[in-house]
Amino acid sequence: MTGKDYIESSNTMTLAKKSPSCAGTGIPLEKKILKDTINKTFLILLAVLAFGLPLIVKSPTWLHMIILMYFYAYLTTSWNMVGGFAGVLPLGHSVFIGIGAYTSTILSLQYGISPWIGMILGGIISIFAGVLIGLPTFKMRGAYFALATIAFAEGFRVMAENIDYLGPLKINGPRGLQIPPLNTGLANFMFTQKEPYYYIILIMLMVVLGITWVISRSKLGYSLNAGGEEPEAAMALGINVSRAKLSAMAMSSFLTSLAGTFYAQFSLFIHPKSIISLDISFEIAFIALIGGRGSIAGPVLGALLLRPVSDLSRIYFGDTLPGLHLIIYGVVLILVMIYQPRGIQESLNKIYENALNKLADRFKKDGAV
Amino acid sequence: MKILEVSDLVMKFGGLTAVDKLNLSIDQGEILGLIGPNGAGKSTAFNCIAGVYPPSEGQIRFNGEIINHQKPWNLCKKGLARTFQIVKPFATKTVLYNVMVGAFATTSNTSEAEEKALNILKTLHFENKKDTRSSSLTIADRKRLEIARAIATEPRLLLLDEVMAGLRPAEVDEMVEIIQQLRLTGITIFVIEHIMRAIMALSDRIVVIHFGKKIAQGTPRDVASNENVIKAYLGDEYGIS
Ligand SMILES: Nc1ncnc2c1ncn2[C@@H]1O[C@H](COP(=O)(O)OP(=O)(O)O)[C@@H](O)[C@H]1O
Ligand SMILES: [Mg+2]
Repeated sequence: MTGKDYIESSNTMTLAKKSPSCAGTGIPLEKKILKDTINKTFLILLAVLAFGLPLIVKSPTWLHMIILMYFYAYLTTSWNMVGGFAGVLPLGHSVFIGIGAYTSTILSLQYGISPWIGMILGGIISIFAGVLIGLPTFKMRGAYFALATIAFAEGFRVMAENIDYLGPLKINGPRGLQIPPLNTGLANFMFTQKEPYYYIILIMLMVVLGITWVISRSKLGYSLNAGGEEPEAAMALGINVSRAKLSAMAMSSFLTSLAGTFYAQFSLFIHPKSIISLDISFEIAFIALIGGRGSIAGPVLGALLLRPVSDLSRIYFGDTLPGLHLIIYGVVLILVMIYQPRGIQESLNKIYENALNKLADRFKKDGAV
Repeated sequence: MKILEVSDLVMKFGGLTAVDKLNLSIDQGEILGLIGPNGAGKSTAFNCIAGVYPPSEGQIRFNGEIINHQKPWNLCKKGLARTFQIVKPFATKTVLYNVMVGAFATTSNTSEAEEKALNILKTLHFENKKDTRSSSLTIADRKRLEIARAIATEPRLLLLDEVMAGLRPAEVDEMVEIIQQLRLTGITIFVIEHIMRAIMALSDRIVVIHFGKKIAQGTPRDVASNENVIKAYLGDEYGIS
């Protein structure tokens, strides 16, 4: 229900991007303006719906699932800056989730620093980690790059599992860190209800989608796409492809890291296996590939489609068949790659645009009468 | 003034010397043709000039500056653009998007880049295809897209690598016209071409290479009547008098 919000909003963005060129294609300006208006109305309507959702959905279980849905949509959108636009396939993004979660948690547990500040610090550390990973690996092609990022993530997890104390900082190895739910409130990023978490992740998701939209229309977005598709041609056209990829990686790492802090505060318990795991890294890639890599709507659509699968399979088969959701993802991925190689966003986008055209035509007729 | 000066350029790939002590220079505003049989080292010479390969030996000067070890993207910013013999469109993107990538070389503003790209498409009579995905273009249009993207970077020197290969005669004529138009806008052009009719009509001067070595240079007329050239390159196929 709220998810539609993002589908529609992202579609609007694609349309808005195309609109300046409408003048030459013979589409009457009047209709273009009409379509823009309908788009904006939709957007506002769905935003209102998204913000009103917790008034309708009272069940904490459902809210919990929706929060995780947004959480994955956020993660995948952040990943998409590198994995989508830059045309490489990073499979170790959980490193940044881990850095974010551990940084803010350690700082708040040991030094009483607000997780909001820890969140930003974790983000900055993740930028360094991201650039450090990117520098040697962005020269690699295809599977080699993917494997290298897996290696970094696994190395980081094993380290976290084997370190109890890093200097004065308590990492606590495989046992992880528990955040006692003592001082709730906005300043401490801790709440007894689900609703505040819902609004925080909703706003985070909207912001990251906005950033993605701005990037996709900017010189950086063009550079990333060009460099991802044909690096030699991109370089000949004045693009420093490695630098563009590193910029994208820096942003992606920072934003992914913020989600780590969110997760820590939401679950109040982090340990290496849960947040630096390859499971998360893979799930992000699955969601992106199925939803539509490199598009704005794709990651959100992917999360809307796949998260319920994951949740339901965990609820019903969690004990007997753990990991079933990954198998289901695999099957869905194969089907999507065969029939919709650019992800499900492509056909949904078409459907939406058709509906929009019809609607605009009808409004125009009514207006003329 | 010489816009490009190549002196004693050598490019080796392992044991293979693809370009061997090549000397040539181009005047501002000139159209210089580079011809030679397949595998003669023409594209390799272009790649050295455009910064793809650092030359094994020799010196390349662009606007008086030695550019031997500069990167392609920096050279592009300095006004040196090129097309690829094997076209490299950004396949999933539209024609307009492709050209905008080039336009971003001189601006960071998206609407400015779009406006510039649209203008270029207009001058190349390519505007009607602006929303076409570049993977579905004909070969002639792909070559045209290569040129459109390159000139969107506002080059002073443009390297064209076989932009007419695979085109029909009418399309070749159109391409010749396009290149002549480009020269009128003040762009210096260095062109590799196999189609004799076209290169003869276009070039002020022609350099001929064979096995990486220069074997002749001069006006199209001189070159066409040069014995070495006829023997080495034109052979019996072309009976140009
Ligand atoms: N990257 C490369 N590595 C090894 N050999 C190459 C490379 N590029 C070109 N060559 C060789 O250099 C020679 C010249 O090639 P090229 O410059 O493409 O010729 P032309 O463009 O004149 O047809 C050929 O023998 C070719 O096989
Ligand atoms: Mg060649």
